[in-house]
Amino acid sequence: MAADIIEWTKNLVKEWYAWVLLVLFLLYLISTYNRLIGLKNRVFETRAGMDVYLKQRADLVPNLVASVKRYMEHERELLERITLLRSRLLEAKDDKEKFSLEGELGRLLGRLLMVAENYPTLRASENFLELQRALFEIEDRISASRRIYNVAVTDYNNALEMIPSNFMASLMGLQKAEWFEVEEKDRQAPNVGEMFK
Amino acid sequence: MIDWKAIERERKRLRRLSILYGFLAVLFKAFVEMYSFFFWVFVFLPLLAKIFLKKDTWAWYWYLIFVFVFLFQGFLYVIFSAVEEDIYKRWRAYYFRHALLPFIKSNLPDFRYKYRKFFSRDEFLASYLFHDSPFPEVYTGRDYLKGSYKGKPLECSWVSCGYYTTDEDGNSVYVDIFRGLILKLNFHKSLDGAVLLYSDGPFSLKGFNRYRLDSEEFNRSFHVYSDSEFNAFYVLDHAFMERLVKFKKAYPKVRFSFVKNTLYIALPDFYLFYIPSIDQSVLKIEKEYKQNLSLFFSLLDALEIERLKAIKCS
Repeated sequence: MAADIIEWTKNLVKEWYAWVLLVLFLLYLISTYNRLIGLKNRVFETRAGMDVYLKQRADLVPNLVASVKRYMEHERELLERITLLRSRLLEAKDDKEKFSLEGELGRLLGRLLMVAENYPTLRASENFLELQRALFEIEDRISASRRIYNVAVTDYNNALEMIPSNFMASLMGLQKAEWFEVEEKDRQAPNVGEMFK
Repeated sequence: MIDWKAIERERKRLRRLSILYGFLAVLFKAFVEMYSFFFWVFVFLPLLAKIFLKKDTWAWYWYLIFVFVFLFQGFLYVIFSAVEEDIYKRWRAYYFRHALLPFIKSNLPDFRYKYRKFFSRDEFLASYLFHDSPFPEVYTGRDYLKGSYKGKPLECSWVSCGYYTTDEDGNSVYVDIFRGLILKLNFHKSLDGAVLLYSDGPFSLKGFNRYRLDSEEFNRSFHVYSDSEFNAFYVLDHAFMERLVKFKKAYPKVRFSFVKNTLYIALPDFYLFYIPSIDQSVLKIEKEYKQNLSLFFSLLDALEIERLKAIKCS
């Protein structure tokens, strides 16, 4: 039996179409490999773009907390939660935890600005208005970059799960990327401009 | 309150005059053409014979009479044509003063109107609304409106533009690029580039790439072009995409462009006002204007322009 298979293979090697098929198969392997690497790099690239804005927001938090602290004595708990969340973000171990904390931070910042409406002296502060405007702008940018990242992750994860690229992906040891999902309530929270219409 | 019946009476009066003077102009034009034929056959050729063959013909005397009558009829033709044209001008001025302006003042109190003003060609090109088309060699417009709706400043004007090309037979033909209304609004997000939404296509646009967004319905409705993927996603959030799709359902041929912090909207084949021809009754025009305005504002409502908050961008 084994001898038959060896004989059949020897005969096959002599045929030209066997070589054509082999070359086509190799080309397919190369293109799939390159596509998977391209998708993986795109996830990294979009992730890096998003991280820039997440960092900008995190950098804005101390200034925001400092500027509202004097006026919002009764909201100390909220401010402390925001500050704590920011420090927890720096220690986040994986993407899942980090994205969850980022979502929570966005929601709390939205709430902070909503509560700020009850403090007319705060709303009259030029510094606060400037920070609010900057936060609004950054939230829009985070939202855009998050959506681009999620599209990249969807393409990448689809390639990892779909036949036949999933075989190559498992050989390459590629892992699924984490989506940055935001609950509907969180998604609405950053639209602070709407609250001050 | 516009007295449309009085305007209609005036239109009829001017129309009667235009018919009379138009008839006279056509009559004398025909005389001039007829005389030019007689002049060549019975005057000019015998005159040449007199000059070169030195034969005394009757033509010399007739020549002077013919020339005089010819010039006189030509003069009358010019006068009657000018009078006829003046009647049309008088009608347009009368309609503008007594119908169009009062209508705009009463229906659009928050707007300033200029009949002859329109968006410049430079602004049209800078809007990228028709970036897929050649340079508009012919460019004109009218009906410039500037004002605010629901507290949101907006400008619009009717524009018509096109270019000349040659067909298969080598003839020069005019091709329309756009004929319709262009709106200009402040947009609340500031871009360092441009985002274009075309309801037709796809096109290959110089300096722009085509992007697909994370809404299938939106991707089916618009082809999105931008100089960066981030700009496209930044401008088009989910809520805004839904409003744009709603807008497109109401006006399928629409195009949008976002340039820096300005939103441009092109509505092909759409107009708000016009001055009717002297042959057209004015009694139903008010209804037509009101329908146009109603559609115009319903489109702006679909876009919820009051939500496009103008913010100072650093």
